Amino acid sequence: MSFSYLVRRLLLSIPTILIVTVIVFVLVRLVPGDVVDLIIGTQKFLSEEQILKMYEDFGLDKPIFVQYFIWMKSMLSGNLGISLRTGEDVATMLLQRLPVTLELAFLSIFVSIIIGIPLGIISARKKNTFVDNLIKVVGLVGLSSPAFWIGTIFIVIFSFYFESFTIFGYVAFFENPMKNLQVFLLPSFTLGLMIAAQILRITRTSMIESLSMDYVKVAYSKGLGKNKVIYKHAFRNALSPIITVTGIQLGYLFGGSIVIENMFALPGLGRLLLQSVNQRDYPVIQAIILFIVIVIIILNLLIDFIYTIIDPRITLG
Amino acid sequence: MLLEVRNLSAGYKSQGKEIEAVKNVSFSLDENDFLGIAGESGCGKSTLLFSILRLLKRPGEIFDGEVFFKGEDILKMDEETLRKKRWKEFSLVTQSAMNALNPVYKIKDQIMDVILEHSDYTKIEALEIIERVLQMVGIQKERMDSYPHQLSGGMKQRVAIAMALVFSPSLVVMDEPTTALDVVVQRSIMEQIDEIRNTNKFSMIFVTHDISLLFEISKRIAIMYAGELVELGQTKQVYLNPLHPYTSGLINSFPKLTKETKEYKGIPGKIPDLSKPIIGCSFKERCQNRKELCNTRPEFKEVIPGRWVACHFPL
Repeated sequence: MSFSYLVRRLLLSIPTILIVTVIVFVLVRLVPGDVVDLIIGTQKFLSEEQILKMYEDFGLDKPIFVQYFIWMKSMLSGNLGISLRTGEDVATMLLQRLPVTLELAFLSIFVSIIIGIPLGIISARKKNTFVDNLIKVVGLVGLSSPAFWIGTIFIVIFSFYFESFTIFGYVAFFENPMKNLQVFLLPSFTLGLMIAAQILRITRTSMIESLSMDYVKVAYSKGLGKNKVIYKHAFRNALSPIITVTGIQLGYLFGGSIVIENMFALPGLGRLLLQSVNQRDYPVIQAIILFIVIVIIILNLLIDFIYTIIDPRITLG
Repeated sequence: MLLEVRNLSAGYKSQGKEIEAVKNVSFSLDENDFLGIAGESGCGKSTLLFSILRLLKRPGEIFDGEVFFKGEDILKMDEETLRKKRWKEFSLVTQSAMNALNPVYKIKDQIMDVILEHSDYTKIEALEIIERVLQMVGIQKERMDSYPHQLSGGMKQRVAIAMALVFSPSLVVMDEPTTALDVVVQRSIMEQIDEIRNTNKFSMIFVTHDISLLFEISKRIAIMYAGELVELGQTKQVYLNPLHPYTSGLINSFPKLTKETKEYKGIPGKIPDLSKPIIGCSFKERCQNRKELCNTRPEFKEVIPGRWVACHFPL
């Protein structure tokens, strides 16, 4: 991948980012009720003037496109703004929440890869046998069970039968690694199982195709060991679609899993996003969405780059 | 004798149905022999080849028979022993080399992995061998750093042949190696194979539906029909004096360069459905000489020394 290609791809992503910012900016303001309404709540004693003053302070009194340009200007100067609700710096808030989301994302993907890929390969090798059908059924169950349900079952089981197990109460990894991993175990399996089902299906399909190719037959007839044939010759060729699916899933996970983070009380981006929407905390919502968009764009670029490593027929630029 | 196939039956099992794609096939191969096996698509040629090499994969299965290679039954050998013999003793060039080479590895890595698997050569020695075999098939050594997609069809086929020859095996099995190539490239590759066979002696089984090619290049020829061998003999004799009506039909269906042009006749009818049992001679529905006796199965027997035919009334 050449440097000029990289620059071109990044430039091309600017319109995408701009469009997303406009959509988000407008959408959050379409939600009935704004932050001022929520602050006032039932306190009817505030005067008309005081309320107008609040709108002015928050910069919500200006026309929406003026608000947008003010926000854009501050974004471009690297300032994500401050929370309308707490007055905290938005960038600081994101950086506080990010490690939780990243840890959850990587652990979930790890779980899904170590479950999905081996099962997918076994399933492909034993195509149309009892083992394959069993794995397919398990995969289908995983694919169609909603995460909140699997999560609930986990919580119920673990709180009943493993009383010493810590389900809730986030601790940073560097403070108490054991406890941190315990807290992340259930949420990452909940998410990981769902994604594993998707990775399993794509691995199976892709492996069935590459196992049927002539070069695999040649590899067998070369007298190479089974593992060499399957992993070196067949799996490497089956890898591209698996990477695509894994990458897309990782992109979603980086945005924070709203349901799972709330369910397991993990203070990640997803939880912050939900809170901010509930409180109409516009700058925080906008910043999180923008972050997700940028991460997905970078991730896609990275996936395209990985393609060129695993398949020499693909070149970028 | 290098290879002896005895009463080999193989096929596919699916949903309780058994499809016998190879029926009771017997033949033998000497050292430095060149047997061509011809037959139309779906007659069981590839199934036969993969059964002989024990490469048939589920739902494919060998039902019965023996395959003796240098006196040992390949079908009864344990997998590890067989694995160690593979490629050193017998190698394979598959149908359309486009797919025989793994697209994600360089040419040299694909030849290297088989050399390192079966020998104690170092990587540097292996590279020398790769250079030598590539040179043998007329590929410049610089090409070993290419990926398959960077080579032309003919070059890929040459590489696949070079790869099959790294250990100078005594048997090379070729499954329609030139089918995807144009006639010019096909010819130059066939000449190259001939040349290599003059210096490195090895036996070859060459399978194709291109019967005119086989008549031109092979030493002996076997004609396959509906899973059975119907005729086997010295190529020249079979061509000049076919004994089976199917062989004669095939020979009459392509033009001869030296004779005057005339209208060519095909063989009426089509090959029987292999999933249903065939009673008697498998060719009888399409045969003009069929008689009462053809309702019993003709035996594949040696009628003249070196000439085998499965017909009650050979021509």
